[in-house]
Amino acid sequence: MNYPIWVVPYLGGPWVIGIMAIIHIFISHFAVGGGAFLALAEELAYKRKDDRIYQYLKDHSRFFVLVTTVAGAATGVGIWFTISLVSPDGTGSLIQIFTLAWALEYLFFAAELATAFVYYYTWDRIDKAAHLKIARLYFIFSCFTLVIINGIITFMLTPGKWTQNHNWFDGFFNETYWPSLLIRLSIMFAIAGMYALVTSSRIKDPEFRTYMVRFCAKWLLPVFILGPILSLWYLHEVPQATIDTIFTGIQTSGVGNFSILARAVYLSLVLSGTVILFAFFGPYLNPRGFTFRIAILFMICGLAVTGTTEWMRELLRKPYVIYDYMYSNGIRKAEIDKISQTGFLQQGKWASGLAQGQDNPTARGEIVFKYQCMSCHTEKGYRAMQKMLGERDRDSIQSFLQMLKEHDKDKNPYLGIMPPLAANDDEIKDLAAYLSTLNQKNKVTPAANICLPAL
Amino acid sequence: MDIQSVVVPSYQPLPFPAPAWFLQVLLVLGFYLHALPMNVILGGGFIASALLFLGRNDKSSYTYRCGKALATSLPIFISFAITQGIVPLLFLQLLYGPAFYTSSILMGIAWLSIIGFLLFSYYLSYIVIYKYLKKEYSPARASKASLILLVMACGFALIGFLFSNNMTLMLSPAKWLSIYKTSPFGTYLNINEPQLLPRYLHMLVASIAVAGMTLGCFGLYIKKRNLEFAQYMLKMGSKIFLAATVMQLPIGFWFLKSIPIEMTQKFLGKDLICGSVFGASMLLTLVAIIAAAMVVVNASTTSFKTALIANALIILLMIINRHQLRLHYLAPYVKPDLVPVNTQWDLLIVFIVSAVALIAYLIYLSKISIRAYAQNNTQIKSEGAESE
Repeated sequence: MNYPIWVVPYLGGPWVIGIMAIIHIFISHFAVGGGAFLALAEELAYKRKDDRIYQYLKDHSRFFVLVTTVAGAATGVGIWFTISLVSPDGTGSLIQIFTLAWALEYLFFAAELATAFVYYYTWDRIDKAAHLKIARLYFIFSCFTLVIINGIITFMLTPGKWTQNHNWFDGFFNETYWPSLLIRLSIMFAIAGMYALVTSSRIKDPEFRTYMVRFCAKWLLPVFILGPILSLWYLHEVPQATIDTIFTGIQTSGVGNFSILARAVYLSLVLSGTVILFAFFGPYLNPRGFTFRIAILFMICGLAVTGTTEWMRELLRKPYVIYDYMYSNGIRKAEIDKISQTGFLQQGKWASGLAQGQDNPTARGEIVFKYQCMSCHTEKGYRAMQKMLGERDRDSIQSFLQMLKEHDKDKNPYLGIMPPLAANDDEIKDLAAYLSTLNQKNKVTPAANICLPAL
Repeated sequence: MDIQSVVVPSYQPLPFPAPAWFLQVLLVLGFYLHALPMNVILGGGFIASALLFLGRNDKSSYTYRCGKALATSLPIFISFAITQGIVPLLFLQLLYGPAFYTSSILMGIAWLSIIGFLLFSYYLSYIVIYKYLKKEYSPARASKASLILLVMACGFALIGFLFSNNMTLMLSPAKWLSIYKTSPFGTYLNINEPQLLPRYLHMLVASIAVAGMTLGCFGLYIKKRNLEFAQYMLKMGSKIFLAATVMQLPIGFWFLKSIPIEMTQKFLGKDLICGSVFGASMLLTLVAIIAAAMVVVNASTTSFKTALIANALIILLMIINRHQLRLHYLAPYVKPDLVPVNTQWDLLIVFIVSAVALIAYLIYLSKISIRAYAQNNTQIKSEGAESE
């Protein structure tokens, strides 16, 4: 309500973040796990004095540098761009709380990139022991970037004592910090293995290819063994209200008998299981039959797992952007009561600026819709209001909206996944008037036949 | 202007982690460290493309070799520019978020497209190296490399243009509401802004000058190995620097005229600090021009170093002026000095210690790289002597 809302028709703003984030995560996890892979594989080459592994690593490291330093860095900036466009209040809060942590991450990132370039450009130019040392240093610095960003990401779901004392340290080292760090590390090793399978599958010598494919497949082992235990630990630390939503959730927020969150969890588990079984029966047990095409298929599966897992993690946090502090629509929890009394369109710089001089109820309703609903819904596309409202008329929409305003979970079953509606009674009427125009059937009725003014 | 139509978002109700003046210093220094490599890639792309085109018929010509050296170095500069960009982006969001987030949203589509252009141009910089410059030479290949570099440079120039759009749009809160009422989809570009074009050209031409200086630095680096080529690079780099800096005189004047008169007056002396910084940068420009002209005549390394240092200082002073312009524009609307401060001493100390450690580490890495390449060159030389 403080900023203008960037309207992304059909797709919705959150998916713009989602697309950028999934690509970035799949690459940045490779940047960290791949560092461990390069260091350990080079150690192997060093101990065995195996030039074939060295030659493979030289080729693989070019691929590594091209993917991580270019696409990894650019999509990382891309995440900042997208989150500030879609959720400026949330981004502004995170930046204000963790400015110096981010500044610190930059230092490690600078060290990581400089080391990556020195590593790549000094192949055959420095002695093997010195080069191995650079590889190890790269891995250490890339891990430090994870150590920092993990604190900020987990803070959003479990801000811990920060909500009471606003101390960065309490927010940073929160309840899910350690399980999340370890899960991410094990996933990073798995992703590094998957990328390395792609380059290994192109080795010409069949005997060496078999050897390397098997070596790469082993990188999926940590997540196979530790993944379930770490996930349970992680879920144990997640707020109880969120766990309740997974299993009991709002059935109407999905289609069928499971809540949308439960389905995200199951999908993530099924896909992860598939990848691990695939790795075991494929490259591990039958490395000879492993080809480049299978490796690409494997990568697609890996991307799907990353996508669904991150989607699940985002859903876990609903309806907040910072748990118990700020809702996904940028309204702070502490503001809700005041807004409900005084009216939403009086609060917030941009919401009130846009409402100023606007007497048309439908137009005022549209402003409320943009600010309170569009952080998750679109008019006609993803989570479309048109589809969700169905044939409801203005009155039934209004009574539905009145329910969304309730703070009591017994009266408002949507409370666990949607922010309470922060509006006074007149604004709820306006919002109902606007939402009823989304249904074509309602549009032709005289009561709602009001042209939408351009905003 | 009706004050009711000026809508400026509030800061978050949270304290800053350090005093605003300290964060401002980090913003300006961070932008400086970003601007240096950014200028090298922006100007360097165009210059490398031109040099490769001019020297396309002879791979042993200095022109071709200069172009190749510059083109080959670009990916590392691009990486540094992106990494160093994090710092100013972070502190800009913190200090001027209310203005910067709003203007970014108003031009959201173009703003986000920067990531696409960046990926496109960054990969082109590698394609030029691996597909053309490292392959066996042919005039056709050299021409293609020149063309791809030109496309790459245009991509970076477009990114710069979009940044100029946002950096000027964030200075004009009075425009925002009406822009958003016209389109909430983030389709706006600030092309009606009088200072946009001169400001952008000022930056673009400056990048050509910086690329010239970079070429001269390459000359300094290889001086012991190949004096003649080094002198060529010093002279060529200084010529490029001179040509671009002379062009800056009318463009700079145009830029100064394009901003509101009361701001122009501040830079011309009405405001002591603004005027002093501006005056110092003008004096240093004179020094840099004279020194560079001397390099063109006698390839003197001392003169080149003088021009180089003067230029590095000019960029810093211009960046301070740029920041002052922002302060004046936003003074009535965005007041970071009024945000409460709760200094996170623990993190601040960790940050400062880590920053020092990073500098030490980068020096260590540079030593390794320089030694690695020096050894390699000696090896190549001795191998060459043996085969002779």
